[in-house]
Amino acid sequence: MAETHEAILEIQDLSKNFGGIRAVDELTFDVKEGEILGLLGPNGSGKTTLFNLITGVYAADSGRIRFQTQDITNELSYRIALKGISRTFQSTKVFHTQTVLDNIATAMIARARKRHVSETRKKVADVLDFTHLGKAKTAIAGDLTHAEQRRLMVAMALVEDPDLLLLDEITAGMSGEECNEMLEMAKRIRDRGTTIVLIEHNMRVAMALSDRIVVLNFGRKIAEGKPEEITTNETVLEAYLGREEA
Amino acid sequence: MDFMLDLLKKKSTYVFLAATIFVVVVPHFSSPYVLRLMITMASGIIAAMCLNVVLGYMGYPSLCQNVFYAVGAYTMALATLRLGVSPWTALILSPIVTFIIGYLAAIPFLKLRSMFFAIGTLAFTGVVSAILVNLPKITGADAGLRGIPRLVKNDINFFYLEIALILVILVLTVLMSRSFWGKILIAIREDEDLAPHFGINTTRYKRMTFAATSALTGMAGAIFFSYQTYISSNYFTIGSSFTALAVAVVGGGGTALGPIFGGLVVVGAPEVFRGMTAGMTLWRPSFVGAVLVLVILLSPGGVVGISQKLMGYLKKRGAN
Repeated sequence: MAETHEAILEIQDLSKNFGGIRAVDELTFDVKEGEILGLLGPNGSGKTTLFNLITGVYAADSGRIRFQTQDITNELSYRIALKGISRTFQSTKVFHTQTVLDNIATAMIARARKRHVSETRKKVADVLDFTHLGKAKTAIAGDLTHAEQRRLMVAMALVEDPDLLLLDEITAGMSGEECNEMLEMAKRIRDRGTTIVLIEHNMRVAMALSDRIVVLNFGRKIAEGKPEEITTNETVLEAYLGREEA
Repeated sequence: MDFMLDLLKKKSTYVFLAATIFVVVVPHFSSPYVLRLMITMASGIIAAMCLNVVLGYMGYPSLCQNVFYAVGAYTMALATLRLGVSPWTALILSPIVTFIIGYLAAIPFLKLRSMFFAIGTLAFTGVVSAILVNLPKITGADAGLRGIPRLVKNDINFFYLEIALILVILVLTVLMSRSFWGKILIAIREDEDLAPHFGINTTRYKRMTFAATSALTGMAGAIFFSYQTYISSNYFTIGSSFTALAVAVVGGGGTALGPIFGGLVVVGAPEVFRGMTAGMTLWRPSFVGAVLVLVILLSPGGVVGISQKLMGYLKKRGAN
């Protein structure tokens, strides 16, 4: 299905150095509208750096990032968010002293377009329902369980219906059952029409979720294709398992 | 009618009434010394209420509140004495000038965080303090400028003027804290790096908040030095820049009423110990310091925190 859709995000020859380390190295790939694209790669392969480049946390050294045909390279983070890109973080980030509802309200303030209060209420109720946080809505975010905090992070990213959602290891630190629940949620997000790029350490998770996969190693793209193609790709296996000595 | 009945049932109504009676009646029966103390206290409270927004809501420990107090005060002094404008016109000019200076200062300083921001703003106070001393032709340096015209004749009216400003700031703070603006400031305090990912232009809100609170602090400076009719660079040293911080922290950061209680303690405590016998006066600062340390140790929530704890305790006892 992915092939028939247009690119929503285009990464072109993107590079980023930290001192002498080349974290992202002339990276080029597209994300197509409506798909779940998995970003795979060993630790330090540049996956999170790429998210930080897309969302304006870091400035790129060279290359271009285009979102819905607009150039967003080195744009400020808040402007990128206003254009419709949302993200979650590898380490849980929420406003810890605020209630779940206040967290969601804060996430809506700047992005909400003019609309009736009842519509806003419906949006909040929907996202609470979607992320199974309805019962915890008046709880202080810092008091939630790890899994609930991560669902809250997704709720905050999702509440204003972004066109592109970047999920950075949504299952980090979760138990098996919580993991499955989160994967289920990711699929439901895609079914809402939101395009997703997800970083995943866990091969099984990435394979189960993604329509397509891009594999990075040392900041470079070493493979791109459907999950079944990736599992048999020699370069990928080498990057993950190491070269077998003859 | 129901609304009135509801008001009568609320404890806060009576606290507000008591405070109003105190503020309206007490100055008429106070000695000039006590009235002067109240005017000084009110001025300190305004500066701390403004700092409270920057520190308590936004999470930036500013140590340059004194600079804006000085800018407002010198705008009043120079506009009236050098340009010959009326003190009321000068009172309108002060917050405008202070807003501009506050906004310009915000551009470099608000790029710093936590401790670095504190050190940066402290250095800013040092620089401004040095400018005031080294430009005697303009500022009068430590010899000062005399004959600043008074906004109102009567000392009591100066006090009322300050109370009016306190009420305005109180209402603005409460409205702000309940609005999207308050939520954004709290988001900045909680995780400034996260907020932009929800489309929040943190830089804009930080600068506007800093400049607006600076403007109101400047207004307090203008009122106080019009009351005093004399200004000198000695009032604006690095050391005195800690006063507003002490008032805000002792009162309880991030609460609208905190600075008012903080002001009573921080400005009031030195005066309580003033009556000590001659041999003890050297110890006065130590006693004042001890009171402040005690408040902070007893309750990180400041005076407001202590009173909330006390109310909770009394309620429990009442229930048993």
